[in-house]
Amino acid sequence: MNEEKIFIMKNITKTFPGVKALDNVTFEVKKGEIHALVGENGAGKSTLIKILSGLYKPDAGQIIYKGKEIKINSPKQAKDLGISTIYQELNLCPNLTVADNIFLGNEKSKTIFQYIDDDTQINKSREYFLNLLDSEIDPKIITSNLSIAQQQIVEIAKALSYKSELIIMDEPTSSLSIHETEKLFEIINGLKNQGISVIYISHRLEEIFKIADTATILRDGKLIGTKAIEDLDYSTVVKMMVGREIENKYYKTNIQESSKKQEVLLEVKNLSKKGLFENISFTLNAGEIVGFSGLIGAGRTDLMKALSGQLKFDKGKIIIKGEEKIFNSPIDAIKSGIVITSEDRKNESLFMNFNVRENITISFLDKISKYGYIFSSKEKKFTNEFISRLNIKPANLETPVITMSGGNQQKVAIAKWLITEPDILIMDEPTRGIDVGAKAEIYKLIKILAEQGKGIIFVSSELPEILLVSDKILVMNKGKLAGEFLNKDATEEKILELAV
Amino acid sequence: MALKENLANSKTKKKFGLFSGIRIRDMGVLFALIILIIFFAILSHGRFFTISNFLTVSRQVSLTIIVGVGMTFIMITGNIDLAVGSYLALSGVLVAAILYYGVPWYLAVIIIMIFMGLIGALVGTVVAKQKLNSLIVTLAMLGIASGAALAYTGGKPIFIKNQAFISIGNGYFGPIPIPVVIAFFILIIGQFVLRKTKFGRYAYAVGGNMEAAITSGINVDRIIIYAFAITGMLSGLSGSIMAGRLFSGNPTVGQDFNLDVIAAVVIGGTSLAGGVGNMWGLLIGAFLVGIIGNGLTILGVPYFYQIIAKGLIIYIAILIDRQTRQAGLGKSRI
Repeated sequence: MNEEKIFIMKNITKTFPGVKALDNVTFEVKKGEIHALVGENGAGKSTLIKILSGLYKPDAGQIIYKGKEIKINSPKQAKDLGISTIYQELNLCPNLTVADNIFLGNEKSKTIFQYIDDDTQINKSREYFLNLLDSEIDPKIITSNLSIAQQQIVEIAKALSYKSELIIMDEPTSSLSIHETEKLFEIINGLKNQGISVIYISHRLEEIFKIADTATILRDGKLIGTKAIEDLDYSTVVKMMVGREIENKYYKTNIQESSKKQEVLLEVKNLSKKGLFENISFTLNAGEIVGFSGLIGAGRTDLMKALSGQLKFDKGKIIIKGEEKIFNSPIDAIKSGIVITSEDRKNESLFMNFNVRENITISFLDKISKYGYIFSSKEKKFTNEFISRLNIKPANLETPVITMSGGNQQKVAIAKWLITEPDILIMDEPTRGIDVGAKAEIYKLIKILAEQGKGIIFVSSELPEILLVSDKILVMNKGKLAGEFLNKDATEEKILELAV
Repeated sequence: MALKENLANSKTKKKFGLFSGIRIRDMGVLFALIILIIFFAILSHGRFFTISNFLTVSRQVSLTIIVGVGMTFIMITGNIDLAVGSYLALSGVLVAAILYYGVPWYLAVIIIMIFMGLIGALVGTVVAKQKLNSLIVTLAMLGIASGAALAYTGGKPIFIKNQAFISIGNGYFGPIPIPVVIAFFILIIGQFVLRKTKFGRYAYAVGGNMEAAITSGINVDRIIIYAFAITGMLSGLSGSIMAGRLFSGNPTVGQDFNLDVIAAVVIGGTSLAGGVGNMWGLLIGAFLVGIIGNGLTILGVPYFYQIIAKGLIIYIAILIDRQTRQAGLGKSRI
């Protein structure tokens, strides 16, 4: 491999009011390598990336890019230098065509009147897609018609149009299915073969071992180490990231015990919604954790929305504790003791204008108020109880949730429902975008809730965690139930076979 | 994580009380208000900075505050009501008509408040149930209400002879004008409802994140309808006070009242995007708008130019609104 370095960031320090986000960090990437940047939320990964893409300026340190010391003053300059960043929330204009997006700000134009040369743009786009092993995307199509995975490929094509030599990808697989992820990896490897360097950020460590050549690990704004991937293993990386060992063994052991209680909490019979899901039947016992696996778009989220009163279904029955229920709105579902933490935490679960207390009690105000007046002493008491029960940090009921890490936000979203003492808790992708330490805490919490007799529906696209947490695993494929496993019979291969 | 937590800790303050909610930005507006007072005090050679002029300004802003309390609720839910000026005219005309038939003054006020409350509820229902943009719905209502007021009176004022009613607009409670006393109580009640009740909390929730509010089991439609109904009721009250003040129900009043109310609420820090705001800001915003009008009048600036000045002030307020949000206060409410 070529040992030439595309850039070196030397002794970078960046301070925000009250905290050192980066403390004397040195980070270097070789030409044509896939370099994973690893660390918990708040470790300094995004700050480092933002410096590299021109959004932040470092307080101290130097950046040497292709052998020359430079200063990156703006995202535009970073692009001109050949550094492109693809953020988790993609930056495409959904109303424009694919080709328009690829050449946005960089249009191919004809004559002095600067009108856009569509033909050249479309042909060039086709070329890029071919280069990226994807000929299915039509450059003439409106971008909003593409899947998230395809939009990501458009972003990569856009980076190519800028002749980028360094592409930074921030959590590119967080909303991709297993299949789409594999395809993205092929594309990334293709980029590498063309001599383009890729900085790859992901919370999913398995991916890093699959794709990266080198990994740099950050913790609390400090560089912990940069190593070739061959010299690392999973537990070493986790240890470097969190500074302690995380045990995942706890969970598997209790599986037999927890199925002791046989009270049926929820019975779903032939539930159907045209175009979304069909003939879904399953039962959920008290103390049971039912895992829902499947690809993105298999209909899991829509099914969960139907179960929680957010979506009306066409046919079938929802029976809770032996009684058939009809949900006209989430209010009815909540009254029947069935609640959901949404996969889209920021948009569907939490109020970013609220603090921890206000978020946790929002669905509980009826119980702590009289004639509409909220008793703040009761509110404080309950909130504090749940902050300590769920180990929410900072343990302060007045913290605005907008300032909290993803893991703690998720705990707030869970606390908001636990406080209402539901019988059935649906968790749709509860660990999306949160770090390893917080994930382990969420798993533990799910187990504890099940032991207390709650029924849990656990939806996840990550197979290892489905296998780790669930008592029973249901696999969905194209809106139908493709199969059902007890935990002891399930393997990643068996699930995948049914899901794809 | 460390970064976020530190930031959070440094920002968190105790904020349970009714007087919580005064932000740094409001302090900035308060500072602007003080500068403005000094400016007018110097330029007017003592005509501006007197107790009697202060009471005059207070009386002028009291209507803005009364309706502004309702508008603050509406804007916190992420909506807006452009029809309040026309409500002022309509309720003034109707109350004058009711009084003409010899209905006691208090009953007349109550009837008008209930009637205007129902109109507000109707607008709220259309906005919430038919999922229409409140800007457009209330623009339509503006036309309907002001048209109705003009059509009913043929464009001419209806005179009021009821002395007790007239004194609501013109009387004093000790040295303080009655409208000022009313506005003060409405403001306190408004802040209490906002900070201490379920309705207030839900209003912030609806404006902060509609999706999450629905999934949290909040009856979103009801909150929006209530907010518009409250504004309708308070417009009815304001319209009655105004009619008393003018000894008549006049279909042409309140033409730039929308401007005053929205300016006061926005200057007070209530976000146009919803989810953020409080009544203390409204108080400062209303006085800022009122003092500009009053000061310019004392300095001899024609009324029409004052309207231009108010328009510019709204623009500046919106600019400040955006700047402070970008400065990282986020959508944090306080």
